[in-house]
Amino acid sequence: MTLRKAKKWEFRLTGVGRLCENARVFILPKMCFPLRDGVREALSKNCGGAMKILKIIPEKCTGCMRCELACSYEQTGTFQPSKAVIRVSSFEGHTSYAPYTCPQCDEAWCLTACPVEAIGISPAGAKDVADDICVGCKLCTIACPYGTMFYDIDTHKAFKCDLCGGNPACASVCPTDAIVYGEADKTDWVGPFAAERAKSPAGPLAGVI
Amino acid sequence: MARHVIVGGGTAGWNAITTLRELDQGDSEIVLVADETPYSRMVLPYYLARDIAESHVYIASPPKLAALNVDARFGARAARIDASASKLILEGGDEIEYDNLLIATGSSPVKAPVPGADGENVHSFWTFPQARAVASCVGEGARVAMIGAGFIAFTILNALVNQGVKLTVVELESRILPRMIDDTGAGIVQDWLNERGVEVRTSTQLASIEDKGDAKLLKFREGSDLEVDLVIMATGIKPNIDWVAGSGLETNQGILVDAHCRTNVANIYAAGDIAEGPDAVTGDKVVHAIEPTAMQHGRVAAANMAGQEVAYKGSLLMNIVDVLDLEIASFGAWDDPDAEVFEAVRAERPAYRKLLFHGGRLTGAIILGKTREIWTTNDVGMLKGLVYTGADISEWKEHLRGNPFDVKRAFLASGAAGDLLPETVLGRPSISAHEIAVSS
Repeated sequence: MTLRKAKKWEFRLTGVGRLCENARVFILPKMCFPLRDGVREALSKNCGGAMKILKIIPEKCTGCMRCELACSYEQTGTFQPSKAVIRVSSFEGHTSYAPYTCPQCDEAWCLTACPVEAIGISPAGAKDVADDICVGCKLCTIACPYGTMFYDIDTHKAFKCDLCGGNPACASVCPTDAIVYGEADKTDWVGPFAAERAKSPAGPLAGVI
Repeated sequence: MARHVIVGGGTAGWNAITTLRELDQGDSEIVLVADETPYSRMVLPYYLARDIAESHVYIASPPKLAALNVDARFGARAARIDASASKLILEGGDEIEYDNLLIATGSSPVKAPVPGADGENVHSFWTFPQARAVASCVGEGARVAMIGAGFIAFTILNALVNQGVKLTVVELESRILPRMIDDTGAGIVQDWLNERGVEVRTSTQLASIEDKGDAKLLKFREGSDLEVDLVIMATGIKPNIDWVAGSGLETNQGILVDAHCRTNVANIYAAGDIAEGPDAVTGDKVVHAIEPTAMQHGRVAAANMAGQEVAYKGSLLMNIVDVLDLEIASFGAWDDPDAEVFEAVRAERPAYRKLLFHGGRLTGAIILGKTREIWTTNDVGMLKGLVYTGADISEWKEHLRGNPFDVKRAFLASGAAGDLLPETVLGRPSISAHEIAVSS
């Protein structure tokens, strides 16, 4: 088991509080929100039953980027948004934002493309890469039509959203419920929001510096 | 009980087997005819790099085939097909009757037709035995000539250079990776290689290979001679199609198949490098000798063999390879002269992006940049999604004309994800091959 995998439970248990504490060192104070009500209860809840996914409600996103930080910490043990597997995009001159991550699609393009069967489905229902089998050929990165398969140049392995084993860090730290982990249809959560902004009279990227 | 006979145990054949079992849980007879024990060609470069053990290369191993209740005939070679009697005839004369036949016999490497090409220490890099032969010659200071600068050559370039090989790449055409990237991209890659000690000779035709003691002396139609210890022939591949002559199957470069991977004979299918099927962008029939197409063909053919009526959209030409941490990928009709082209070069990074449009739809793309850079590795999947779905991104065209590197928001707004989410090949969620269980 790699460090990356082992860290998950450690993080979950000692959790969000420590994330905020560490995050203060690295990020602007405005991003350190108090622990949201109910997070700890949610963390301890059993994740059995129908599949839960990450519901994204971009209208609620403030662009605080805590999801990226929590995700990168969970996935790699470092606060490095470039290694997050959830990514926030800005629209309309940084006045609106949309987080985006793997929709855990039914076709599982990454899984079927893998020539060494390194990608499986975890108990949480997430497509997950087994680091000891992945050779780093990147076929999954071109097979995935969602752009949510990533390659870590330091480990030479593919990596992706694995729903943090059933307790996704991004949803836990989101202060505005823009990312919610729950039972829902797999749908294009961000598309209509982004399309609406593209049609803005000032153009899709008005105001971007 | 239906009998499915599969000829060839590569990616297409293996995916057909797992798909059949995923759909029927063992309720059919599967016979696999394979002249070698199946392995994953895609990982041979990592074997050459000594990153993985030999055992890692075998995917469709005999125990796994047995667990899926497959009657595997290793060492057997198909000789011909009697389509009217639905019989496969093996070399040696044995016959196997079938209800459905899948031809997945792949392709073979072609060596440059020069004197000395069959000599010692001149190898193709295609089969596992060839990979072993190359691996045994590779080490610190070994002088290696790579004849051909296509995708296959580039997949093993890292393994060679990282093991201290003195490498010279020779290409007949005027640029490297001639079927994967354009002149601008090839120029950037060539500079990158030269800066890292790899000599590249383009527009250079090999004339002969002679022995010079234990070494090989290469002579060319242009330029100086080259003395090396090992010659790797990466001069193309051709479908293994000869054995189906006379079977009544329609062929061109490969065996012609429709969107069901079915040939002109209703119970004969073809998949992978040997199949010439519809292209997702153009609709034309083409041979895409790439791993993702072999996988997809295998699944689509098997679903139809199992009695589902599955038509697929076509295969998308796509390749990705990294060369000493420079990432190179292309999708779809990247060399279409009729497309509207937006491109940008950031020579100092280096980075290159080319987007090809027809109206508001992306029909091809080239992406090139350092593997470490976010803009390189993050965008490949989204470019694939846009080309594959043909989603309308008219609203973003002007933005992309100015900055072809910024595709993410265009992708998000395109609705491509919404188009893709309901789509499954088998009409249900995919499962891992590890989860397929066969009822006894």
